[in-house]
Amino acid sequence: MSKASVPNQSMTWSSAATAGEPTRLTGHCELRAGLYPWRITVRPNWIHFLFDYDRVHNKACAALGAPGLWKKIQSNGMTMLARDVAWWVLDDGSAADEQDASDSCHLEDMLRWAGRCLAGESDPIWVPPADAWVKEAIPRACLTVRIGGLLWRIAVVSSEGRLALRCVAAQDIDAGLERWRMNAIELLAMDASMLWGMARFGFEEKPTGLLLVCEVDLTGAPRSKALFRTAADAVAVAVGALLETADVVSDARIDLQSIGDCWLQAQSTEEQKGETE
Amino acid sequence: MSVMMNDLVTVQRTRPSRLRFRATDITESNDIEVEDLEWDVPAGDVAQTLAARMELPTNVPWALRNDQGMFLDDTQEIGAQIEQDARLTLTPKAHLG
Repeated sequence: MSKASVPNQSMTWSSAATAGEPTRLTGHCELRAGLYPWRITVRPNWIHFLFDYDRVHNKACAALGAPGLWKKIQSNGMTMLARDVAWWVLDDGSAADEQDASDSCHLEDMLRWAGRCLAGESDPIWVPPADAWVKEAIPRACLTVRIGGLLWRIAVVSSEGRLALRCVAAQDIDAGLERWRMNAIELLAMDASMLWGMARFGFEEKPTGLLLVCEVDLTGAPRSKALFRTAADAVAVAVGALLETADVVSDARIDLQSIGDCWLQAQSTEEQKGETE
Repeated sequence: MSVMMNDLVTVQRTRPSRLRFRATDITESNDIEVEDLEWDVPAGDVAQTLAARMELPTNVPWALRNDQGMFLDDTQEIGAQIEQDARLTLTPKAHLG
């Protein structure tokens, strides 16, 4: 079976690029999953699965806390449902005898997992890996995000039927924060979701205020140390990229009048444009 | 749901969610109150973070000492090595000879 053409319980996958190994996939190809046109973008290090968010039935699959790697991004002015797979976690079959069998995973397994998450189905036989396995896959040093004077820990959230890596990117955000500041934080989060593979962002309400959380949900994931380690790196890099900016923007004590003015000016221009149209 | 922690510390839900302590540098030119760190971050990372907050050079290694002069273990969680409201001293790791 071609690695790019995998039958799934909930949908049929077909591909114009069915030729053998994933390493031979180049450029773009179209897949169809049910009624949705897919687009796969193959880049040197990542494969991106994308399709039109507005046409997705199960939008909850991209929400914070949902199983799997689906996330909502903005791409070329369109809202897309996206999922990223790193090439290096995939088993290319070239050195199977030399590697730890649990290190990489097959593209078929990744696609089945993606399909289940998209359909909102769970794998009845999947259980989270043991703590010891997770600790071996993700060294402790990979669970810390340190940027300048800011330091955060990536939590491994493990419960029956769920495993996720989560890190707070901004905490105690006052729900009454000026609109432009909230808008800026939302834009930062959306930008980071788009730029950094696997990581998705969302807000959580806490008694002390809003939390901006970054997570990679590995619920139902194939058991691959490379995948789990990449997930930890993805959270660390994505959070690290916006940590300082989010910290400054979310702190109402820091005067950022110029940015606020620019935002208000842009809003006003948009409104005027809307009125003329 | 549980949050997986490292071996030395068990999750204590009764304690505050953030660690609070006071830190000074070896020359006592900087004295800062810290109350935004999590309990399970490694002490070594905390030391480097405090150096950045105190605007000390971050390209050299730093260590933390408690008020009894004992060095904290860089690799272990800080929450397992100090109590809430502890006083710590940030010290450069200097090797003579």
